Amino acid sequence: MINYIIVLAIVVFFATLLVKKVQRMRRIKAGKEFFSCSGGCSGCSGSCH
Amino acid sequence: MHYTIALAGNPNSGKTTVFNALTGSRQHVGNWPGVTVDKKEGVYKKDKEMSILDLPGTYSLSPYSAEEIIARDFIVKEKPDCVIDVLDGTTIERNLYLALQIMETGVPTVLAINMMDEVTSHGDVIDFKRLEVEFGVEVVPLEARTGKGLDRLMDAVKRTIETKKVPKKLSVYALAGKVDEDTLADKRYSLITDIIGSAVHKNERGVIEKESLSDRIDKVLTNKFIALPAFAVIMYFLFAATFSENFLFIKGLSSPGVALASLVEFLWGSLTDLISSFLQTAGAADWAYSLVISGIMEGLGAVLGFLPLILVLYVLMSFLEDSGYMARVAFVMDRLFRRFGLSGRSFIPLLMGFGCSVPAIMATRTLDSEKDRRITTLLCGFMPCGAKLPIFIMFVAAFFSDGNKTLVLFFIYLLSLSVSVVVSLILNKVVYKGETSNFLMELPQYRLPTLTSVWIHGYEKVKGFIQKAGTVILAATILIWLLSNFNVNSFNGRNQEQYGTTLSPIESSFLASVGKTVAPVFAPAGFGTWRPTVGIATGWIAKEIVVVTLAQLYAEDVSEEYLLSFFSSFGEDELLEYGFEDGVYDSNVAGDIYTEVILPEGLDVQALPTLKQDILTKQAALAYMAFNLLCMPCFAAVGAMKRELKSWKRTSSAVGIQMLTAYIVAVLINILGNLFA
Repeated sequence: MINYIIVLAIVVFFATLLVKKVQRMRRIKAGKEFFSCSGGCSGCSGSCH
Repeated sequence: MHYTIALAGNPNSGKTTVFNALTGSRQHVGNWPGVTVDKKEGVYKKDKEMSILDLPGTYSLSPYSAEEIIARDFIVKEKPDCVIDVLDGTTIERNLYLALQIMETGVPTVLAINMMDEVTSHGDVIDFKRLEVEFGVEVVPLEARTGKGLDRLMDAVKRTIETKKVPKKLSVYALAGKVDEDTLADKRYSLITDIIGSAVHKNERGVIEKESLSDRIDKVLTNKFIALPAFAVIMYFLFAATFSENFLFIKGLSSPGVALASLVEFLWGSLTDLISSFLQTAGAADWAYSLVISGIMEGLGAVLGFLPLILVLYVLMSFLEDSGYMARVAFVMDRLFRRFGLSGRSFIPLLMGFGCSVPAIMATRTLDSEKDRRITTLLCGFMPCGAKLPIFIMFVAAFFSDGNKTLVLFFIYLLSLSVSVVVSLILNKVVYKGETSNFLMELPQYRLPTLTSVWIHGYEKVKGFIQKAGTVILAATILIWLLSNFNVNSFNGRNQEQYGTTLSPIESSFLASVGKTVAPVFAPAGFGTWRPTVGIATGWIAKEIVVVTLAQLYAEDVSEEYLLSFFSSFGEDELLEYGFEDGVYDSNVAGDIYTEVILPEGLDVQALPTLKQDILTKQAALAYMAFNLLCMPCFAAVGAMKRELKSWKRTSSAVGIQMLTAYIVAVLINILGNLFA
């Protein structure tokens, strides 16, 4: 049982990442977010956060 | 009804502080000019119908630099409902030049005279009513850092929008286009001088008789001979406060960074133990246990353990930034950089690169010359960003535990700057021949940074790091585990037959096969084995992943068997001393004691045996750190490079130069190290 839960959790995690990636690419296309961001918001001059 | 309000003003007049206070944002604020390179938008927290735009700081609206063009285009073409011009009250004459140009456009304007606390402490008096009469706009005193005057400012903005109050038409405005620019500038300054003469009463006695504190500090910190050694000492102290285990030269006293890191490691270790017990009780399969404990927990733990060190370093750095010292460093560096074909202005993006390469590369657009922009974009990749720090800390702990760790880390930072100036010199001589642009920068007053500002820096750093750990690093951790634990035989049943498990031995995994093909290239640098090679490649996703990869690939170095054999030579008293209850070996706590006591104190001369089989010498370890420091930055930074260089060809060339430089430096370190060792 625990093995299935672990696999399911990982599949959900990767699916969420993929959905977020697609959403982000759409926001970038719409000019609402920067193309590149490493997540280090401190020191960033971007307007996305 | 929706309104747009633009924040304009001279560089370092406090626009971003006003923006953060009005919108509740946490935009980066620095006590140096040029922090904002693009316009940023937010919503006024007390009225969601009001959008607030933070424009880059400019001295005028003449369209010469990127910041001026952004500010000018927005005010002239977009026509906001109101412009708040933030003026530094201590240098009001110069700030009024931009104010005149903004008011000349006819857009409703409110003048916010900021830094009134400093104006008052100088003994100066500003007649706001008089300024209102002269310019025909509302003028509001402000102390943005404490928030004093913000409500009054927004009330003035609302009144200006409601009454559609436009600035008074002054005679000087009519001259635009009729006389040349120099004459027009003279006329504007004459008008400002007249108005200031009647509206601002300077405390002349004070100015003449007493040097400001900033001036006195500058006499030392920007002195021709003292400046650079002082910078080196300050940076050394910064590293010592973060990494030293003998802080303030007191043996055994951990620096705040090290003390916090130990706490995080302890908490993560306890969580891992808890999950491990749960999985065993729940009957998890071998592969599931290995994935969660050796893959995810080990991988993430390797990165999270460094979070406190990174936090302390960047809080201290932001303290220096906000105090105004870093602006002086740029000024001091101008002398040095000029000899290598760059101006001190390039130092600002490079300094930002100590945090993250992406904003650093974006900041290169503030540079005036194309040549400086291209070279500095390339050099940003050489900077030791926060994500590279865990690599250095890991290697310093493993290979230099008997020496001065702070000094080795200091060397890495020095190496990045030294390589930058050498590469800059070569590029200037060979590729980009041309004049170095002049560097003019206003040195801000020294200020004691506010707790809010330091909190913003720290909070954003932690938030960004944890977000990254929970997304890209976690994903990479799982993928690395998959690739290093499976091979073709996992799927055709041969592993099951041979080893009793579907998992493959790490040496014959997919990752090992790829790594072994490329690894010989790095043999001259001293690390031509597959594990370090794979680490370099995974680091291009995000540099922290180098540590995750190595932690997973060298997990066997702290296996139960290794720990048992290591502690077997210890007597009862020694086991008791190192934390084993009743002096009896306990496999449940052995891992924690090994990583928290034995490794940091350098008590295991054979520490991380497999890592030390792959990287045999200190010079090879240093070469590995240097290669990771200087090689291609993460993909996000390469994307930013493409954005600023505006062509894939130029981006590829820049990445090629970075890789070549990294390789040459790594090989040189290894060869010279071997010669002198």
